[in-house]
Amino acid sequence: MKQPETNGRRVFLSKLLGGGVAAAGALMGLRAPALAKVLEGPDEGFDPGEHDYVFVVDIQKCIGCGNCVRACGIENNVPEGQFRTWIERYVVTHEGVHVDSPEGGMNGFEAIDPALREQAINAFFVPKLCNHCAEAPCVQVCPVGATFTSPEGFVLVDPEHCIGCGYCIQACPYGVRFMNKERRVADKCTWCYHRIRRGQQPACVTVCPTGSRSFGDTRDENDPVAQILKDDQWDVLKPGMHTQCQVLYVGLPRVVV
Amino acid sequence: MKPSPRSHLYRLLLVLAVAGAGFVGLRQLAIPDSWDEEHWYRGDALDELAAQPSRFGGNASCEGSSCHEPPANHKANYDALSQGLHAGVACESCHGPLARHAADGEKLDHARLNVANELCLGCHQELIARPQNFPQFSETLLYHELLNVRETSPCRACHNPHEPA
Ligand code: SF4
Ligand code: SF4
Repeated sequence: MKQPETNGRRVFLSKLLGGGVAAAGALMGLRAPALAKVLEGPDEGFDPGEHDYVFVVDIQKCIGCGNCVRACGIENNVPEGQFRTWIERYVVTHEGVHVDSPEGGMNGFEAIDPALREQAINAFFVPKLCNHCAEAPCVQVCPVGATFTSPEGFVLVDPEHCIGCGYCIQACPYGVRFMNKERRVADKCTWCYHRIRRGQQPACVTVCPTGSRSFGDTRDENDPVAQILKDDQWDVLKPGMHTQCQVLYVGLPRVVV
Repeated sequence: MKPSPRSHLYRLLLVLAVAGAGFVGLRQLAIPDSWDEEHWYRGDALDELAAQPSRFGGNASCEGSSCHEPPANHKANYDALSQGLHAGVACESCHGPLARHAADGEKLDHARLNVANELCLGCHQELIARPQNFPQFSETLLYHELLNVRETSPCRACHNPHEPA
């Protein structure tokens, strides 16, 4: 499926050049046409039952650049000022823990107050997103079944069915849900469900320059996330909630909530 | 004719029957066609959500392309990038979403880029929360001091972002 053309000059040019460009493209071995299909087309051959996905966040690699937050907003049309994923900066001192996340870390971070820096004994960034809990409280409380667990284990919101009551937003122990101020329905990270079904990686994983974020199928032996499971050195946020998070944190300091 | 002594009961039954039928009918209308009774969601929602177009093409959109022969050489930059220190950095980390850059053999949109040094400092500015071993800009680095490099100096005057050193 091709996006309808809106630009008159472009339409004219494409008609003028149509055949020639297509032939030249084929000759040059451009992969663009195939790619366009991948990016919007149906995903034949995707079997939901054959995957077991996890999202891995490596705290020791995150540099707080905010690439992920920006990409997520663009990919998913997230309204300004709302976030499906965000970055928190933790600064630990003997007196207490300081956490900030200016604009969700979208534009990166400024240097911290020099006085605080003097006292800091540890500092790091923590990327946050929906944990796609296997035992999801939001799914339990939705009165109309608009929040549900997909056959692949994604926790999703059906925007056509959501009545905007906000119960799920209250129920999420991780605060990842929000009321989309444009669509007036509950919204949150989908692990880029549309991309996964096309064999792509989530947008934030695609642009993360340090590999702090990764996503994969634990049933696939060759997938890097399979090694994370083997190493068995991961944590989840708020394990006491017994929500069975599927976002695994590597190197998670204990102060993080 | 005398009305039946139980007519009040019949009337009540009639009202209940109408209300019951109304409830069942309305409920039927309110339940979407593709409702999954077992897992409790609207089955069509899956394909509707999956139809959202991708804005980020991933490195697959640049990899192996023969676009831009020299001097504006896409391929040379891509190859250099994949071998150098920035190997893990995706094209779209700096160039923004490129899924719409080209389609059907046509260029649809520019690959935008902010070439100011904020682009570099977004990752390489010195910050206490960054991992210790991550290269962070410092004015007091030997070469930077010798060449009088400030935070506002253009990084690209000396460093090639596709092959940084
Ligand atoms: S997986 Fe997609 S929706 Fe979730 S945080 Fe990453 S970019 Fe956003
Ligand atoms: S893109 Fe990666 S390194 Fe940058 S803030 Fe996000 S998770 Fe951290």
